[in-house]
Amino acid sequence: MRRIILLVLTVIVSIVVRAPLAAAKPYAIPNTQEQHIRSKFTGAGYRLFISLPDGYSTSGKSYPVVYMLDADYSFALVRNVVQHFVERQDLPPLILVAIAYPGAASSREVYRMNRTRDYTPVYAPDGGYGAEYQKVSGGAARFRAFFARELTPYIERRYRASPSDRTIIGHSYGGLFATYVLLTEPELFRRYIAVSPSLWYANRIALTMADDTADTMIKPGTRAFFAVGALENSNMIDDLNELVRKLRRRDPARLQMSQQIFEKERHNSVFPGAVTRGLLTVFAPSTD
Amino acid sequence: MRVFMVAAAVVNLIAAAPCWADGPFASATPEPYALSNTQVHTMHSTETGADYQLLIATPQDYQTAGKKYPVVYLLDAEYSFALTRNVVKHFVDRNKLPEMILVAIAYPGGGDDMETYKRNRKRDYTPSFQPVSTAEDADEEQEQGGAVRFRNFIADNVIPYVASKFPASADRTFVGHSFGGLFGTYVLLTEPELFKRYVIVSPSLWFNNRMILRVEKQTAARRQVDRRVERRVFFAIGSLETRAEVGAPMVDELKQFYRKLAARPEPGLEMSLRVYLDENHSSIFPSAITGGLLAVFPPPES
Repeated sequence: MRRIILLVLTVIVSIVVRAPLAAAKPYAIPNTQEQHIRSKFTGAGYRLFISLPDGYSTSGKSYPVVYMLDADYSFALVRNVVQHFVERQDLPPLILVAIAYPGAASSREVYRMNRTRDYTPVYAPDGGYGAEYQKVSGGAARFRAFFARELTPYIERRYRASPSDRTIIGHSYGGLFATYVLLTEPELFRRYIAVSPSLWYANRIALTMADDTADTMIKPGTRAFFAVGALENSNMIDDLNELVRKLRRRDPARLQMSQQIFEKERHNSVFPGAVTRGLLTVFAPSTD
Repeated sequence: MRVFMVAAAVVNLIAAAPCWADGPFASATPEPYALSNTQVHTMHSTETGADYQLLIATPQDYQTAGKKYPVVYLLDAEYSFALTRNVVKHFVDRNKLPEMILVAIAYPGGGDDMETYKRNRKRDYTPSFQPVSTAEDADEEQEQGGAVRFRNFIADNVIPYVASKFPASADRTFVGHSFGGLFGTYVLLTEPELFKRYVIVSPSLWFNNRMILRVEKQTAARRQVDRRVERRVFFAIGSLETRAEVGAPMVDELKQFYRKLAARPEPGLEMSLRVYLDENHSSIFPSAITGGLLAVFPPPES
């Protein structure tokens, strides 16, 4: 009998103990969804974190779309910054799409390997996270094709997303990728936010590419915001200054350039402030 | 005997059923994006009379690591929580911040409705009753000045609750912006040991004819007692912050207040003030929370 009572007690306890575990739900960000997509161009699978504006389901409107890299860091941060400014009417309502790698949030190797493969424009034997990671480098053209021919069509088919108003946000290697797209296929996005781009990459290949970007490739009304922290390595600042100098020679009616050097910020601290300023800058009402 | 074993198994299965039932149907509609290693808890306060949600982020292995963690308490949770969680994870991954638990205090419905959000925060974050000048503000007048009750709720309910559910150390940090920064300043003056670290962003020191200056004066003697407790305070403000309607730039106001505090040094209190170039009242928080956490937490020992 005592054993039976003990068993019954065990059952009760197991239910009671289970209850709080089931009750503590994770925090889900309102009006977001997660999708998955596989790319023929890169051969990789991606997680998409998507945030829709308040009232999306009933508004019938189309929205600009902001794409961002390094999703595990950028998505929740940018979503809250955007929500804050949309509520105060300092930004238009936006759809956000962040591109994440399965497993990257909990594995530094997965994170480094994937971003080295997708964000770097050419193969380089060393630099970055080191030779082991650089083996997979140089996939930016394929990743750009994924954006142009798979991801943006997917988003624009599935959501009321304006094809003529796309923004890209990237930081570090992600900033290099955004810069690379601006220099090679600028019409893919209307607005570019590149924070601390890795312009040193492969003997500063992006600076060489900047000489080859023809004005006529750039759609009128394209905007770019570049930022770097004042405490980053001096070559990060010098390289960015040089890139910006080159791009300011483009027809300003086609490419409206902004640059910001954030005092007291480092490579790993500059992003929250820079993306905030960047969004406000590239979406600021046109002055002309 | 065996019957009871089976019964136990069945009951266990039923208890687990909600997880299982989600499976086959989950793919029909996309899942929302949930932050990993987070939990939502709900609380009611008899002190303030309001309902709260606690949005909590933990280190991944907090249940098994056998460690105690500093806890960072944040106000204005709908804005601060996910943002700060990602900033903290970024720096913890890079060994620039210690692992920590985040607890953001939210209002049910505050994420969807600006009025709910504004009413709740004004009631809880403001230390005194400010007479209003226009009839249309009369509703607001009823619901303000609740900072003492809200402080008591945090001290007597939230902190013990968190300690009962999580491996929380006594190393507590406060984060607040605007009215939330005013509240943090008020706590710093009236119950300074409630937190060890304070990140106070763009505090509304102008509130109610700068009543906080009187609080500073009244509490000065008490605060200067040596309690042998080390604390760190980081104040931040945007260089563009002005508040035309009260005729004083918030930047100067904060600088003056900071000088007042510095003129009455408190044993163990280390303060800093950072003015963020070209930031305004609504743009400063992402930069300031980043700089603030890095300023109040020493880098982890490696």
